[in-house]
Amino acid sequence: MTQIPFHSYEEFAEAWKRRKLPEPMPLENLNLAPAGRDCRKVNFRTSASCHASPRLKRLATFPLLTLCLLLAAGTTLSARLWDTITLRNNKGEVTLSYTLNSPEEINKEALRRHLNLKYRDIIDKRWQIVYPGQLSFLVIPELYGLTGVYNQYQEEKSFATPEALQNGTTTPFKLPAYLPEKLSFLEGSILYKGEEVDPQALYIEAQAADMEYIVQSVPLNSEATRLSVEYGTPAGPDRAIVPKLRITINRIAGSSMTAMHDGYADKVHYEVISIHGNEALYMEAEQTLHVFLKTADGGLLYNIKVLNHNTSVNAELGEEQVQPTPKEELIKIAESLLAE
Amino acid sequence: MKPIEEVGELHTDHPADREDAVRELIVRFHMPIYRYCFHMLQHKQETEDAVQDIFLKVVQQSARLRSIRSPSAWIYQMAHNHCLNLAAKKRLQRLLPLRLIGASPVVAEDSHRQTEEDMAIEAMLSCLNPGERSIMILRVIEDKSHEDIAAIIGVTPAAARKKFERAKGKLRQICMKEEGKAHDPDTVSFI
Repeated sequence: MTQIPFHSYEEFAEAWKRRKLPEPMPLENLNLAPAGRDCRKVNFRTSASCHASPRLKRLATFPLLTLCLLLAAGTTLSARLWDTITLRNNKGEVTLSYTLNSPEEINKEALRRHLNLKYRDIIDKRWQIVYPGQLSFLVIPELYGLTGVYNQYQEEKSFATPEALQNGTTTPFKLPAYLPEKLSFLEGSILYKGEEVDPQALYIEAQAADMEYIVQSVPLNSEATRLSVEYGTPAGPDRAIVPKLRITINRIAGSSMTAMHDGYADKVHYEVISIHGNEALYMEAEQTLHVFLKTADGGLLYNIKVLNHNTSVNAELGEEQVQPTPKEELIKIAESLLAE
Repeated sequence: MKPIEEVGELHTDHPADREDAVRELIVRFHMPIYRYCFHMLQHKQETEDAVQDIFLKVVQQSARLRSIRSPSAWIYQMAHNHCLNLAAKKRLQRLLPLRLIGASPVVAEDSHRQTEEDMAIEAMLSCLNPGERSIMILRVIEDKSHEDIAAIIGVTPAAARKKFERAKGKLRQICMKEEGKAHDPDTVSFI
């Protein structure tokens, strides 16, 4: 049980107020449906949330109930195949598609969820296994045996200057030479590559010793697996809306553009652009430009994204009006990244 | 900066204005609602999903924006109701043989690190029912007045104050109990 270290209510309230919360996902895919059209739930969700979205999985678990609800809401439904359901709005646009699983798959999914719930406390207790400069692997045999999935954790390292960020890793990467007016470097962060760990070996070890879970921490090396840089206007008033630009650089194997095209098909409006011979995707609703840069050992995927911008309400408040960053600006940033 | 409610009502019902206003609300209240939901749900993934659901409702009900005097109270009210519904669902799902409730993300890279103090805060808050917890968050974390809280939870300001004092009393009692234990030589620590 947890020991309560507070001697008074006031002490508790102070501690509660200064409690640091996990950072929320950025408001990606903030794609409001034009008036008179259905809201598109798939697009509205954050990308990370989509991956683990219990909602979509619940839909698969209770297909009949869901279909009844959707039909009652007056939505047109078409089943192209026995196992795939596609939901369209009254303009014929795809708003949601999901797969009806076989009974075996549904049972497996139910078991997986049950195990996730059972081990939720262990998975959530990251603070126990994350140490600075280390990459921790958590293997829960029961879960791994069913899904082959394990968890890994590390603390993100932050840098206050672009120079420190460049010196923070041996992975060569570029920062844009061009930035829109008034934007400057705010913060950078790096997730590092760790030593190789064989989760299968950990699984076998944990099973042999009849362990509920097993954790192994390994040192991180100086190679980056993900970099993130944020640009904005420094020293703005608290909670004021200021334009921010985030560039995330992910190391990936091979070209991912084809996979991205497939993943976005029917769901997000995007435009394919060629920048210095490199393929890039521009998503207007998200104000994001994805650029793939080939390197000797695979590639780096640059996601250039406008996090927020001012609108009419700020103008009414008498605040300085900042225009949304137009596509051309994002392309200029990408061009400065790709220039030799 | 002036709070958003002082901006007043929307002066036009043009769809483009409405869309701008909704976008503005979402951008502005994303963090406060995330903070509120996280303190209510104590789980990052569930919080992310709840925030998305709440803002989806905002989008769906944006036609009402014109008649809403305080968008802040309106959004908090939706968040309050949504989190109470989730809490009720969780209680119900505990009775089901198959626990088919939303699962945690299976693979995650998360830099959030919870301290012992955080755990103690959670332990104390778990002694409150969801309604009391909501009031405490609105008062202590979100710094809302009793009048604002009353508008959000749908009671009179006097009732909101009474509920807050009752929840505060519970927490005060826990602190006193623990303090008493710490001075009792016969008591063994929990840890």
